[in-house]
Amino acid sequence: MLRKIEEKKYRHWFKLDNAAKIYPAANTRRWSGMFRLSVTLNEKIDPVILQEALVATIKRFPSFNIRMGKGIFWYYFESNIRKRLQVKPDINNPCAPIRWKDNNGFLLRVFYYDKRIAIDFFHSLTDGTGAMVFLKTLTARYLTLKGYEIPTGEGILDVEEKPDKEEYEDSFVKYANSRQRGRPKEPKAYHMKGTGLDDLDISIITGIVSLEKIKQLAKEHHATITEYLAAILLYSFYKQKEKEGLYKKPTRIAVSIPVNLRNYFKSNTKRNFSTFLNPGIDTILGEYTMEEMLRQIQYFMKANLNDKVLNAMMTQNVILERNLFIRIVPLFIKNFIMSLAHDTIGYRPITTVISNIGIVTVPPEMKELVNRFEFILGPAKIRTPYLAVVSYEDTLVLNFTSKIQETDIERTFFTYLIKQGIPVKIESNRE
Amino acid sequence: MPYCVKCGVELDNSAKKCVLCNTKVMMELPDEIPPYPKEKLEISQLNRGYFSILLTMILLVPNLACLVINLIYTPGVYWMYYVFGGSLLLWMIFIFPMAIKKKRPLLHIFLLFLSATLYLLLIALALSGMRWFLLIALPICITVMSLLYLIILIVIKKKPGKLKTVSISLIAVIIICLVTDGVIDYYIYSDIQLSWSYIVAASIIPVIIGLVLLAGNKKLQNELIKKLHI
Repeated sequence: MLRKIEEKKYRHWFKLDNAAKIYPAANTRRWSGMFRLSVTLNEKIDPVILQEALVATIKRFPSFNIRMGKGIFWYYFESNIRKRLQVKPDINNPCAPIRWKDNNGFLLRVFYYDKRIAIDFFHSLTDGTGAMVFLKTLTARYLTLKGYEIPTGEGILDVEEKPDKEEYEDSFVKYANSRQRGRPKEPKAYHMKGTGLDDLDISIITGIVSLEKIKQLAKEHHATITEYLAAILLYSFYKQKEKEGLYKKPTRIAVSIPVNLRNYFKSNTKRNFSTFLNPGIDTILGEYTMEEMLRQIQYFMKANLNDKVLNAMMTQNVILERNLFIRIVPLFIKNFIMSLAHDTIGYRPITTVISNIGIVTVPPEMKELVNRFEFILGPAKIRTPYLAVVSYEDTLVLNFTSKIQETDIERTFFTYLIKQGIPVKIESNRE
Repeated sequence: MPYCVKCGVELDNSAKKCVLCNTKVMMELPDEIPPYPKEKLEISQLNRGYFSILLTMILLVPNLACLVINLIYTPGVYWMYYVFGGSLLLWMIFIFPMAIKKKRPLLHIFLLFLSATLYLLLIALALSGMRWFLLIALPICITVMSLLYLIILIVIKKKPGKLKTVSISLIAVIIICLVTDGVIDYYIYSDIQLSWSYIVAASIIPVIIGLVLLAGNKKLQNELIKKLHI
């Protein structure tokens, strides 16, 4: 009886936000738009307590406590109160594809392994920032149940508190109001060649470096950490392109860098609110040095990282979904067209992705208990490694994910860091 | 702490080799917990068995309807054969590969041959055309089936390149033409005097010779790609 009342009270549904819409359409048996955040503590994880913490935490996040529903015209999210999200032992292939019916309908998976708590998120749910709040709140709750006293704040929410409406609003709709129509055409970018892995496999290569040292190095070049790492990544792909032919078309090498829109628009949403910029170089112009690539990225970012350009970018996406002619197309036709668009034009202007969540902070009481945070992007549908970055204290973790056997990009990247005098520790899920 | 001698990176204690360059770790270290477990998440697959049963049911509807109509309105004249044979062929082509889990091309071809022959036999029975069935349809069916069987077997076992596969298929085309020409002649004149299949063979054989020569000559291939690329 009580459960029924509770369900009635909370049973709600909401539309997918603008960025979320592409992922269910592009979902296949072999690929889902996933990403993983994990935290490694200093002690072994107790799954029973983690389960308890999860039950308490997910109630606090109405935009996570949901399942996917199918309407005639669009997908929608529907409250999934009746089912329970179970913690599971970790797997070798993080970001494995998701099916709507599996996992009790939840679009996130919570794993534990030794000292690690890991969560695979379906990208429709949230972006890295929202997911990090969830992970930190879950970890804090877990530690509280373990007997430690962890205060809220620093991105940790109080699980007893009622969720604020702002936390699950669609900020795209709220802020997209640019008068600009149409977007500059981006040229086709180079995609590297590689030998595919088996359907279920995913290659993860983790590099652990010192944040201070990287910071210093970036500072020497008057760049931010993201810009500097993006330049090294661009350099790695440039070296790969050299092997395949520098002047062979397409000659543009572009790195896609997700941008957290919360830094430019006042939003507290825990759902998707990010877009991306694609800086890069064109090798048709000649050979580039690392320094020149870094400059190209920096200038591009400086020119485009402001609320006007970003607003224009998201407005183009939002007006598309507001178009009546698009809205009245039945879902199955939309799915077909959107998945086709995702697989072709989606990957057209980018060679790779580097996503930096930034520096994770926790309350001082938690610092002793947490060893490091990790961020893993789901693999690309095309054969290219993606790079995900997150820092905590003095540990900066670089995670390469791909569906290919070759590790040339990763090797160039990490050996470049070593040549700059930065020690790198490598971990992997590969045998 | 082991290091990779080639890349200079520090490796995990559980690592047996450097993932970046595959260089083996020489150090003997006590076993430690690796960064990831071995178990993989299996994704539940769409149950295609149910789907094939559903399609079979749908296919059964017109068959049953036609059977009833046939029995009530035109007793004695059995045109039901056509519908039934056609459905069987459709089922074999599209639904059968869905119903089995593993790809089995050889079995599929054999069953296709059986159902196609059966379909033709039913038509022959309905139109009392056993002569053309035995003289034309059956030999052509057998030839096509056995050639397909052979080609697939060769492709699976020997793995010839694209060029060789094309040449083998072209040889099969010639044989089919010869057989068709032959059986039609025999059907009409009760005597085999090949009329048009020479021409086909004569025009295809040089192509085959060219392809075979090309397949064995990497340099020539490279030269051709260089000269002819678009």
